[in-house]
Amino acid sequence: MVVLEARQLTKRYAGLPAVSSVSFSIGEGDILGYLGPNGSGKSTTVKMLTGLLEPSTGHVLYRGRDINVDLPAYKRKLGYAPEEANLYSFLTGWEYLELVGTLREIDAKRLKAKADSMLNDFAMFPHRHSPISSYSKGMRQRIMLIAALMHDPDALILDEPFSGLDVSMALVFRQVIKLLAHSGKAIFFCSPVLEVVDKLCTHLVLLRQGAVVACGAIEDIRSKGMAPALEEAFLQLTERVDSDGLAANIVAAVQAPC
Amino acid sequence: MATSPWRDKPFARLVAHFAAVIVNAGQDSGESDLNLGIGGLLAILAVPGAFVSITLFDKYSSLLRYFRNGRAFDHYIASIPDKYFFVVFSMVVTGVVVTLKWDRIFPSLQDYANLAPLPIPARNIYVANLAAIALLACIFAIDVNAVSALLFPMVVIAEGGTLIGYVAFVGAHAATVILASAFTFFACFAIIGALLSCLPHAAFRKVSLFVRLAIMIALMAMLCSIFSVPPQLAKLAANPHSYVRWLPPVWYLALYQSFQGKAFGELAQLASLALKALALVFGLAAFFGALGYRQYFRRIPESSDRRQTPSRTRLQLGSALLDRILLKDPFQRACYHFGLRALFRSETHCILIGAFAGLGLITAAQSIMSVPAAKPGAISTIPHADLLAAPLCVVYFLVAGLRLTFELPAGLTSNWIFRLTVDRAIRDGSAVARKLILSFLVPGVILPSLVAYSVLWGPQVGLLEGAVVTAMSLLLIETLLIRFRKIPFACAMPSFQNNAISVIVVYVIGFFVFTSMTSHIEHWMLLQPIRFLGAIPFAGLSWYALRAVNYEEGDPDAALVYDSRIEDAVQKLNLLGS
Repeated sequence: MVVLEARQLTKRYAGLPAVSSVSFSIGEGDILGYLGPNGSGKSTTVKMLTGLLEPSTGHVLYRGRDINVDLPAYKRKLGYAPEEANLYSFLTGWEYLELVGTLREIDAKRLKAKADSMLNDFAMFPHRHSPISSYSKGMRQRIMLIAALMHDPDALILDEPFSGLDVSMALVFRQVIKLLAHSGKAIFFCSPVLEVVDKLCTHLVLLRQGAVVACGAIEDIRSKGMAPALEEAFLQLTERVDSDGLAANIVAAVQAPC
Repeated sequence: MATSPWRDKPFARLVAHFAAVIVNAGQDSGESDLNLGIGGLLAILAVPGAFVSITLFDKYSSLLRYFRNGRAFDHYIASIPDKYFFVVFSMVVTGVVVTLKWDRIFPSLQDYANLAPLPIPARNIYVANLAAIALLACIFAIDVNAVSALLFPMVVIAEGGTLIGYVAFVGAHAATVILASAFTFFACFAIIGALLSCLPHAAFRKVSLFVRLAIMIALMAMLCSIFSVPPQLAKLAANPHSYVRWLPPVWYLALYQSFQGKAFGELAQLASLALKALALVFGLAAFFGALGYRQYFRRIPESSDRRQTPSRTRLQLGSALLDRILLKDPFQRACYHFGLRALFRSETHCILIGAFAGLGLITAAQSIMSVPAAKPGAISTIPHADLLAAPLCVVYFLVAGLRLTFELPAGLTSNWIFRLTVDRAIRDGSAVARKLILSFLVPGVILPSLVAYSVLWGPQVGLLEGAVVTAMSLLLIETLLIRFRKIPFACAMPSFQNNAISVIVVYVIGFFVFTSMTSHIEHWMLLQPIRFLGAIPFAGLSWYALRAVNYEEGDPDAALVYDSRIEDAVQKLNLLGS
C-alpha cells in the first residue's frame, strides 16, 4: 500500500523553479533514496513533504489523502530529521527529548522509558544532562534521530541522517532503517553518499536542477544507465564532470604566485 | 609596485571583521540577540536626545516665560538638570550596549578556529578586536549625542546668545558626553578584563551573567536618578557627605559646568574627579584587558559548556506538581518548561528581565521614598497612595519586560520542531505566556506585598491590597497579551523600528495610569472599604472584555504564528510565473 506520495510537486521562488513536477511514491516497507547534486532541490522537496513549506503546485498525499486536509494528523504520523541539527542549544539532550515527546503527547512515564532506552542505545545516556551546546555534531545528530523515532512514526523523512555519525553508529542506524522498513514503515531519505543509497534503498529518485531525471527500483536504474555500477549511472544521468580537468585547474590556482 | 589601499591591509581588514562580528553577533545562528540592524539601532538611539532637546524650547523660551510672568534666570545654571540628563543618557546607552555585547568583547571559539591557524600574532588579533570595539563605541557615542550636541545649546542660549557662545556650548556638551561615554565603556571593559584575569574560565562564565545583571540594574538606577539627583546638587555645599558626590554622572556634570566656567564650590572639586576617574578606568582596562586577553585566548580551545544541570530530583518533584495543578495540557507543559529554561539560560533574556525588574524595583523605591514624612503623633491606618503604588511599579515593569522578551527568539532556526509538531489552529500561545508571567508575579510580587501590607497595616488592608495587585496584574497581562499568537521565545522578533517611539510613549503613559491612578483610587477606596464592592464588577467586566477580544470565536487570525513579517504595501502578483 502506498503510504506517502508526491504528485507533480513544484516550488518556485520569484518565478524560478527550485523543484519542478516531482512525483514519486513510497509504499510500506520501501526505502526511497533521494539523490542529487548540491542545489538540485532535495531539501526543498523534503520541506514540502513534511508540510513545512507549501508547494507552488502539486500535492503530497498520505495514504491517499492530501496532507493539507488534516496537516496535524499527518505530522503526528511523521518522523523527520532535517539535514542541519538545529536544536535548542540551551537545553540538555534529555530536556530536548522531553520537549519533543511532550509536544507529541507521549505519556510521561512511557516517554522517560523510551527516551532512556534510546539514549542508552545511541550511546548518549551519560551525556543526557549536558547542554546541547556542548555536544559534537554526531551527538546532536543522534539526539535528533531519537526525537524523530520516539513516537513510532508511520513514515520517516531523513535528510542526510548519517552526517556526523561515526562508522559504528552509522552501521547501527543503517540496520535500524532496514528493520523499520521490514516492519512496514515507509522511509524517505536524502543522501549524497552513493554507497549508502546503493546498499540500503529499494527505490531511488535522481534529481537534477529540480527535476526528476530517473526514478524507480534500484536495479531498473542501473539497467537504464547501461552501467553496472550505480555511480556511473548517476554520473551519466546527472552531471558530466571532467574531474581531471577541474583538479588540474584547482592545483594551478593554488600554485599561482601570491 | 602600487601599494594596496589601507582597507586591504591585514590589520584594517581584521578590525573591519571584528566590527562586523560584534554588530551581527547571533544573526547567523539565529540565537537570541537584540539584532535591530546597525542602521535601525543608530536611528533609534539618536531620537531621544533630539526629542528631549526640542521639548526644552518650552523651558528656555523667553517669550513663553513672558506670557507666564516668569522671572529671568541664568540659562547655564538652570540647564543643570537637563545637562545631567544628557550625561546620564550617554552613559546608560554606552553601558547597555557594552553589557549586551559583552560576549563579543573578547574573541570567541569561532574566531579562534578561524584566526589561530593564520600567521597573525595574537597581539594583532587583540589590538584589532580592541580597535573595533573602540570604533563602535565612538560611533555609538557620536550617534547618541550628535543631534543633542547641536540642538540643546541652541535651545538654551537661542535668545541672547552669541555665535561664539553657541560654539563653545556645543564643544563643552560634546566633550562632556563623549568623555562620560568613554568612562562607562572603559569601566565595563576593566570589569570584564579583571574577571577574566582573576577567575578560571568556568567560574568566569558563571559569574559573568550576575555581573552583567548587576551592571544593568546599576544603569537603570542611574537612569532613574535624573529625577532625584538634580535637586540634591543645590544642597551639596550644605551637605558635603551627600551620596551624590560619588555618582559618576555628577562628576561629568561638574566637568560640563567647569568647561563653561560655571562650576562653583563643590562642583569645581568634582570636575577634576571626572578626568582622574577616566584616566584610572582607562589604565585598568588596558592592564586587565592585556592580562585577561592572553589567558583567555589560550583557554578558548579548552573551554567547554559541559556542565551538569541542577539536581534533577528536586526539579522533577516541583515540575510534577506544577504539571498536575497548572499545566494539564501537554502543549502548555512543553512550552511552559521550554519558556522557563529559555528565560533562565539565555543570557540576553536574563539580562533584559533583570533590567526591567531593576527598573521596577527602583521606581518602587522612589515611590516609597516620596511618601511625605508623617506628622509627629499621627497614626496612619491605611498606607499612603505612593506606598500603594510600589508593588504596582514592580508589576508593571515585570509584566512589560516579560512581554517584550517573549518576542525575542531563543534559537530561531531551531523552531522547526514546533512547526512540525504543534497544531497551529488549536494551540494557544497566550495561555503559556500568561502562566509564565504569573510564575514570576505570584511569588515575586503578589504574595510578598500581601504579607508585607498585612504585617504593617493589618490583615484587612493586606488582603485588599493583595486583591488589587492581583486584579490589576491580570488586567495588565490580558491587555499586553491581546492578539499574542506565538509560542514564547520560539518565533521571529517583530519589526518594530517603524513604531518604536510610539510604543515607548504608550508604555510611559501606561506606567503612570497603571501605578499612579490605580494607587490613588485604591487609597480612596481604602478610606471606606465598602467602595471595593463597586470595583469588582468593573474589574470583572474589563477582564471579560479583554478575554473576549483575545479569544474571538472564528477569528481567522487566531492560529499560532512563527514569523512577524509585515505585509508589503505593494505586492507583486507574479501573473506570468504562475
